[in-house]
Amino acid sequence: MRGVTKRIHGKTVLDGVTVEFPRGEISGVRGHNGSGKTMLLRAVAGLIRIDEGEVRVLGRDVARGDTFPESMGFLIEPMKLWDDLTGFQNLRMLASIRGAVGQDEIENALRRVGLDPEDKRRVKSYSLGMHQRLCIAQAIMERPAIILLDEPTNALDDVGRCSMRGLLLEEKRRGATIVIVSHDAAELDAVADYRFEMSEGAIRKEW
Amino acid sequence: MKTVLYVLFYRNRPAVIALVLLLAVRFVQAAALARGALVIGETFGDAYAFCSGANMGAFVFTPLLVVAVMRPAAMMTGSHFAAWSGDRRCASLRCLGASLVFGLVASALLNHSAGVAIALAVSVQPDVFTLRCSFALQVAVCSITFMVYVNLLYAIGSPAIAFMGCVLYGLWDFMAQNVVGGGVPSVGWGLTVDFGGPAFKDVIFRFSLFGMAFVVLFLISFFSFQQ
Repeated sequence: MRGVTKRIHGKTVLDGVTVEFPRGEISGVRGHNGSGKTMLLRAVAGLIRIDEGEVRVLGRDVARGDTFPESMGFLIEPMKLWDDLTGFQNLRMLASIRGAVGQDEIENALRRVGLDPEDKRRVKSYSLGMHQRLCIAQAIMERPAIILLDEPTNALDDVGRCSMRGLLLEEKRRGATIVIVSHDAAELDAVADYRFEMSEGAIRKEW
Repeated sequence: MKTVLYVLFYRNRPAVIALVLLLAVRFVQAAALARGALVIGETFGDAYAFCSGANMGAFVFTPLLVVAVMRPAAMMTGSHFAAWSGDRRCASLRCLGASLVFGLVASALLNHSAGVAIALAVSVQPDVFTLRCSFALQVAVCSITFMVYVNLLYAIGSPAIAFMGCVLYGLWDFMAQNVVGGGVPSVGWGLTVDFGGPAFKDVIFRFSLFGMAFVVLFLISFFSFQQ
């Protein structure tokens, strides 16, 4: 990202952000609520139109065109899940949009986040933690080259947090570039290779 | 197409509830027609207008249609749908496809159920031309209702307001016909049924009206997805 600025209703939420997230590494971004972390991820994902600057993902400018970055999985905002479907059926429906993910990959993603693909319970009976796991499964099921996660350990218990760290490290070994946003510095320190801090829409590298 | 059908109808419980309610309404209408409730029920056109007139469209069908589209529309206005579609244009075209498929299915259900209800209740000769025209025009009205809901949901984010917007669209023709000194043109259900049997030219005119409304709504959704 180079000189990325985004204003919403006159308020600057991203203020000339220039940052590079290294390929194949885990980058952590921390900051307090309202510091612009989520907006940063939305800009990387191509979900918002920026006012100034340039966002390049895998060499392609995603800020200008209509196309979203290829091979990208994200958990940025609450997924609109269908309560009457099982977790597997929810993921299958999303996957059916593009037809890029098969049944085996969906089942594998569910197992990796600790959910049972055979579970016949509907999503409406899921706990918050199970919801979160399902959303993470959605982000990784395509085995994307880029994974963007906003507060991925929210609602997860200690076991869930631990397995999430393992999952992120597995994805990194596979070659994925991962950007995690969290207000929890300790959580980032456990997995991140690089850490950035956001404040008032600006970003700086910590280490 | 498979995806659109999957998103629209697979385990869409509100759609099933809407369908059951539609059948219940048709049953009541058939019972009323059979008991001579319709004073002017001499022709197929009169009976059809009794079953699918602007008043029924305003107060019964439009709310039922919206109930059926609430869940797929919620999904289509989410960022995951757009991202999984690959690009913004693709997402808006999928939305357009969904609205047309929904219009076709809803119109087929509305027309067939009306035809069956009339056939069971009164012995009048079906007017195939009225049925076909109404089917085609109702495809447009149902698709427009879908697009109105999606656009409002996208713009405002509140299902309640989007629902009310569609209900107002449904009510428009009822108001146009019934409010004293209204004088506003019909843009919805009022155009779908013709008591005397519509002339071909008239149908073309109505189609062009619906076509313009649909194109405008699609453009709004297209530019919404662009943002």
